[in-house]
Amino acid sequence: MRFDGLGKTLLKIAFLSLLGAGAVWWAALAGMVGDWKVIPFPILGAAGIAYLLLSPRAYPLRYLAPGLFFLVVMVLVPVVYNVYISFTNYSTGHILSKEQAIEVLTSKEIPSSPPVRYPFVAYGTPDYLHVIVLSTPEGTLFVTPRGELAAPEAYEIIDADGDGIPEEVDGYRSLDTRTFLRAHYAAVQRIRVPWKEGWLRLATLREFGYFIPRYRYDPARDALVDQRTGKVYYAGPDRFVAEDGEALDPGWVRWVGLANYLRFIREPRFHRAFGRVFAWNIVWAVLSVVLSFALGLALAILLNDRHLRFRRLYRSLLIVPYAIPAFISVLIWKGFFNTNVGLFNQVLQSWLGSSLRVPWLDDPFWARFSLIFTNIWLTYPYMMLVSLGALQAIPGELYEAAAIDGAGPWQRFTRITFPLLMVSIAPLLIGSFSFNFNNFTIIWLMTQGGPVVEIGSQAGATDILLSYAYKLAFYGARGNEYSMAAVFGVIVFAIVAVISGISFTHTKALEEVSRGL
Amino acid sequence: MGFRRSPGWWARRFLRNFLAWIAIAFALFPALYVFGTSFNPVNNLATTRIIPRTPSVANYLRIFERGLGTWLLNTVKVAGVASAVSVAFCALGAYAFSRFRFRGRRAGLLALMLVQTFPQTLALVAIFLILFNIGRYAPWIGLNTHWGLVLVYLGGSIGFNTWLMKGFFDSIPRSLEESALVDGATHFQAFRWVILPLARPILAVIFVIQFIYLYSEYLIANVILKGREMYTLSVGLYNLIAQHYSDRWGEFAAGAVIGAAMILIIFYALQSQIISGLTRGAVKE
Amino acid sequence: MRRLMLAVALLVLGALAFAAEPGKILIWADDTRAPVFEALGKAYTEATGIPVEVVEVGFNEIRGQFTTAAPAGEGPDIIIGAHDWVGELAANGLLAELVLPEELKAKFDAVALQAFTYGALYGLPYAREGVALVYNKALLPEVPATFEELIEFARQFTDPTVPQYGFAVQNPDPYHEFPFLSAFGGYIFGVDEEGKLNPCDIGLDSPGAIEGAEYLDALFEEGILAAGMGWDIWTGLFAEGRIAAVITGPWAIGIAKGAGIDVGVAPIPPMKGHTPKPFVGVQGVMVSAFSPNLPLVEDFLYNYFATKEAQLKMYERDPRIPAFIPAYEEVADDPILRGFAESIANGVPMPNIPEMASVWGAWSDAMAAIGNQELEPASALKQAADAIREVLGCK
Repeated sequence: MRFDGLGKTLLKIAFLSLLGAGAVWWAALAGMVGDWKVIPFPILGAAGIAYLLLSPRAYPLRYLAPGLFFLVVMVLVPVVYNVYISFTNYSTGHILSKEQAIEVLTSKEIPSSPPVRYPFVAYGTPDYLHVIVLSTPEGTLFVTPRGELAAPEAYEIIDADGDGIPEEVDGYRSLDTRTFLRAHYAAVQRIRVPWKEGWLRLATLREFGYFIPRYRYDPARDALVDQRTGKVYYAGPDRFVAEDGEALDPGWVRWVGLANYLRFIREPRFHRAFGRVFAWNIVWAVLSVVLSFALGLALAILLNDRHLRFRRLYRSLLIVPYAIPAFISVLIWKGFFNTNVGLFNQVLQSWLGSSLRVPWLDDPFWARFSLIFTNIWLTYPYMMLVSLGALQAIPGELYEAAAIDGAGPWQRFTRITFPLLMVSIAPLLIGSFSFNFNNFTIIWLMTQGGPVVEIGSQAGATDILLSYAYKLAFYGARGNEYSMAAVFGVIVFAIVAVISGISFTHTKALEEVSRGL
Repeated sequence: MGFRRSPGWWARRFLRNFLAWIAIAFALFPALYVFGTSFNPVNNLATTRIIPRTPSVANYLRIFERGLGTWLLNTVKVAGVASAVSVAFCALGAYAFSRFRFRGRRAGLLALMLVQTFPQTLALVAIFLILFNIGRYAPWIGLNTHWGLVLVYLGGSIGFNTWLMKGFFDSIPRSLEESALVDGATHFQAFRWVILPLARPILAVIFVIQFIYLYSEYLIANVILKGREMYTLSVGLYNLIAQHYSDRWGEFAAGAVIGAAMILIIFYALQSQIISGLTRGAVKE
Repeated sequence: MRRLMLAVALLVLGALAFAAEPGKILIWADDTRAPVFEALGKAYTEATGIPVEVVEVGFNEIRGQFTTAAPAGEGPDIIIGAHDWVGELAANGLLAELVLPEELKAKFDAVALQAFTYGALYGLPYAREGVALVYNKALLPEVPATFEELIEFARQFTDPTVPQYGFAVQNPDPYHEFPFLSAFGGYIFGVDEEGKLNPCDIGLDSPGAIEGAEYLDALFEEGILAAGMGWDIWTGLFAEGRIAAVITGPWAIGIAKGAGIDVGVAPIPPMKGHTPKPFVGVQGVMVSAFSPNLPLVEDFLYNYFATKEAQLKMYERDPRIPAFIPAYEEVADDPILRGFAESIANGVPMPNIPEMASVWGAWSDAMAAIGNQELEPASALKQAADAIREVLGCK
């Protein structure tokens, strides 16, 4: 069925009204639950969709919007988040917000020994908690569900056996532990009843306990006071520090501006090995792409020949390396390359004598060689697949024309196949370059960046920027320095973006080539 | 060409088969080790050999007991849906980039590529937080859901695949759809009924590439999925050996063999779509 | 329209359904330990009506994912983990302090409790492990009283051309080589007057560590120890009966027994009269600082987990030396287990402060240089210690 102009417009209007109503409904509901931050999302979303459907200028966007939406949410937002982290002090000891840090610190309690525990009984129904009665040596305490102490006179108590534990309070019977836990635990666990120097709280399933907080927060001074020693810890920029310099864990996350980037420049341990690592990183990415593409293309051409029998089977067998998850096959290759017991050296020794031992993974040159070799094995099926597709798209008459011109196979390849192939494959090679530039998994599984170049330098011979960053950040000063990892991420991103961007400008020429078709 | 084959023809034919077999040997021999290990009841990397001394299927039985069947189903569901939807979205986007001329087109293409170059390893925490926040309002696409994982995968693959597809669309002659437009079809109709059928092989290629990629993806899935019955194949296998590198090697290999077999079957089935379809598509009218 | 309504309704329901879950205990455990917790949880639910949910998370993933999830309110109440995570997690403010009842405290191995202490107790240990001298009884019937006698034996026995070795240690591997450094007084981090580890007192280049490294270096130089003896290699040789004694942990026993070797386990003999102190690693459970279920969790841990029955179940699933003494006594007649237990009774907990993260890399580089005879022990350790000081900002 096809809609004419009017029907289509009516349909659009109907859809948009529904959308608008839904969005307002959602926003109103969010407002009712008190989730103010959510309100703009449905409204903006609906407005965006309306714009897409109504504005003629947005016509191309209608095609792009679905993909773009996910790209922004799942790719762009993480990038922005990462950039944000690089401007903070996010690291071990600084992963909470200040409010969370205060909450964690003020909920620390001084353990009393022996522990003070008061058994309690709760009164009410499974749907309603009336009062909690604690038996202490100093008498019976009545605690309201809101955690306040109440005067016993306020309650009508029936205590027939006179053991101090009422059978009924205000007509409510006592609850057994099971019912209490199921029905009222969630509310009662939050209760802190002010008591002497501290508070009473639920300590076990049947008892409240008396606890003294370790620190008290003083909002006027923005400081924590140690209840045992009276020592005052003032809020510094990112944690509480006493006057003698003693600091409390945890601290909190804060904005530090360019400080991390300045650290990168100032502290030699961050940039000392940068040049060496960068050089290998480029070699690694370029050779991985070029060699695996060369192999993939060669195989695609070989398997594109209609005279080759079983080519369907051959093609299926050749993508096997692609069908095994890399973290499995890399471990297999790592075993092959083992200097002492690996398959390669065993074979070499049985052929060429027992003295021959190639240090496949223990020498910088060979480790790099082994890595690239393995990566070619992992990547060529992908290149083969894409080349296979692209080869099919080249019009056969171009070859016929070339054959008439007397061009040989090699000339046909360099003059027709290759240039046309590059139209669709060049962007893919750029993408493959950026993927391999950051191909952390294979490096990490194979060598962890090793072998060692110098003691204490975290950059090994096969470290790429990302694995180097990982080591700096996660085997760093004090646990983890996520923010420095983020700085590296931004720098690596910038480098790859510039390289890709420059390559990209050359694809414009390719686009023009294809226009001629 | 005559019926008589010249010696050169035979030599070339031999050479081609010979080269193909060398390549296949290169491709297969590490895989054969995985295959052999999967039948080796002695669970130890050090004893890995192509033909085990006492072959048995014990590893296969054990890996299925651990939930391999569920993992496979989960993988097919997540990777299948994500790849299919991704191909659809990318085709739409690629069509716009290939056929329309609008402001910001070059910039958009560039941005599409650049944003994709960001290392995903560093994005894990952010992805976790995004899904956590989505899950607060829509728990069925939040953390520890397969649909949430599909959302993440959709975002992660779109830029690159759009690029790839745009390149192929560029090589489809415009004359074909122009005649449809002259006949009064809308752009969308031209796209749906002219371009898509021609591009079917490309769609198949991208679907396969995407499916295989997602099938072996474990970094993101591992952060999002919790609990054995939620795992995809690669997460299940990864966690299987995380702490038991030496003693579960055989089961691990068995899982890998079954997983790889699944991929090969899918690829074998889709091959005709890729190859024959493409040749037809490229023929000019 | 109906679909739209449904979607909106679900969205709103979702918004309301979200909350941390007080009243339910959520545990993250790896696939080895999860079944035990599931069984314990079932028993707990039957007794108290409180649901216990166990979610399987890969052991290597627990620490990182907990760090991300806990502050967001998505984390579990209890995680299983290793004691050397404690410093980092506690410094991040993610762990709740535990106050053990005195009578329960007395039932735990003191070193194991110490390992989970970082200013306060942050975990309940259940298993400990460390290296000992593992020997092939057919080649070395009796463990010599001193390390020097062991060297003398190795001098007679070792012949790399066969190959056979009287004694081996996995290398380059600082963890396995640490007993040499510690025997002579070497240490990683010094202890301050309050008993806390001081990250700026790095003992890798202390005189004791250097003396120990020289003792080790001499063994490499003489050819008694082979450099580059990685896990794959020595386990292969040991399984073939070509190594008489090796410094290793319980994780290697399965392979040796599988190969039919009659193995014995004993503490590492004293070197020049000094007792080697291996690193002790401890496994246990930790509680999230963001758990709304502290009373329930403590009840569960103290009354259901810290019992002989539960600990023996853990031992069955994961046969490491129990840290809970009543459970240990039950299984201590196993000579192999006892051998390891006696060895680590001399040991020191592997440092649990977050600064330890920066030690491994440089230290490992130095041990490789010593094994390969590239550098003198003193200068290798000095370089490593200086590199660590630079990273930690200690001058």
